Amino acid sequence: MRPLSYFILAYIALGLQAGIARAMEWNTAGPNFVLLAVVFIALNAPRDTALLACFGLGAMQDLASGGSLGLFAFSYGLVALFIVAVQQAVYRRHPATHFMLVLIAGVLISVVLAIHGWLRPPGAEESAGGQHLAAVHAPVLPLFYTAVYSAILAPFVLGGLQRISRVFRFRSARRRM
Amino acid sequence: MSLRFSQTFFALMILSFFSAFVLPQRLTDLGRTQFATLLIPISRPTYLIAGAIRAHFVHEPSEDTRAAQAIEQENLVLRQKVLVMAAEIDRLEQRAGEREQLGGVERLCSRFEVAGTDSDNHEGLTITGSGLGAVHVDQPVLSSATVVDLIGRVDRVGSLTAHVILVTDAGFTVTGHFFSVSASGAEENTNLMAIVRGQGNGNMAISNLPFEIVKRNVREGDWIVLADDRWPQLHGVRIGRVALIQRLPSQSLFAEINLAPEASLTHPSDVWVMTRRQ
Repeated sequence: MRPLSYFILAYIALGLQAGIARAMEWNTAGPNFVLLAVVFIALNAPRDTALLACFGLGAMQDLASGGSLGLFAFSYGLVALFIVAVQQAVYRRHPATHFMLVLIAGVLISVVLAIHGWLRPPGAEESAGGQHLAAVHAPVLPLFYTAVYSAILAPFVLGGLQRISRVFRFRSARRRM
Repeated sequence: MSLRFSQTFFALMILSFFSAFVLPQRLTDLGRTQFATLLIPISRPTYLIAGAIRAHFVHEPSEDTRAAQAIEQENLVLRQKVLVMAAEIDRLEQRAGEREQLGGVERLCSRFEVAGTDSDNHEGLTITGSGLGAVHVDQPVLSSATVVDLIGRVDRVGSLTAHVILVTDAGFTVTGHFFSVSASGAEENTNLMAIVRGQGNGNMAISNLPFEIVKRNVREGDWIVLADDRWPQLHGVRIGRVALIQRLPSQSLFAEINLAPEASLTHPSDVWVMTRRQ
């Protein structure tokens, strides 16, 4: 895979996530553009490249956000492990494939984020007005809405990316293997 | 998958797992605001375009569930207050020397543009603009709308951008008083110190007050205003409106008061940061 194409895709996905994901919110859940990029790469790139590239995308999202460092890197690593295991068995260009893979990947990430939110809730060690405050457990349903929202967008975004997949040179990398 | 690559990848996965789930966040915080700066060429224009499109199609509803009579009563009181204030402004305008004192909190603040929002499930803004040298961690951030509200505080500062954590982000904590408007006038209840906490997904809640006391003193539609020792200059600035009062499910003797912010906080085009203390 071409590193330059990968970094441009990562840059655009992260920029869109910071720029327009909140404006596209429905019921406090917005799409995850980085997840779409992760599924695209995991679906097309050779196994080793896909795992490392998806982990790298997660690490970049961790760096661009204020949450726990490594959370998205770990989540996207898991997603990549799942998708590279099935990439030979699915029809890469079919919209139903895009929808299902992004939905499953989104649910997987939602589960990881929900467990993280449960184990390490924000504000657990704070006090105010002389009172020790209990941790805040944010609702988890919006995480799953995000998975569904991203899955609905997947056929359009991944369909478009598949049309320009030549610029990533996935095929030549696969032949060399 | 080659054995060597496999070992490297799983080592990275284990490292990221420990970083996310085990290590304290203060150990893994690498001053990540700098990375968000790199995204501004994409995030800022898309944020502005999306904001313009959203403003065209989505009109923020004013979620006021009170009876029409209560709203009319409040309007009457506010109209009287406007008349009193108009007279006061006329008097002050004649005294040019005192005009500076009318500046309010804005004179303590600097304006910054919003370049993007958080890309994970947290609620925050990335702000940019000239004068970031005066921005420091824990400075309060106010909305730049016609009504000034507290919307968050600065939690990280970089050389070109700063990150603002919003009041609705899970775990955000601030103290305030209830402010009610009735036929007898507007009154701040200084006897009840409410601890407002962000709940995520655009919500805030108060759960430190006994239900019976809340039932006697607080009504849906009341305002919660800032009364926090960290920012005494902003005493009285609005945080949100009481949307729902119910018993706390886990401790029924306490009340759970859900608050609604004045408007959605994740779409402002610019914000005020209180960079000066006086």
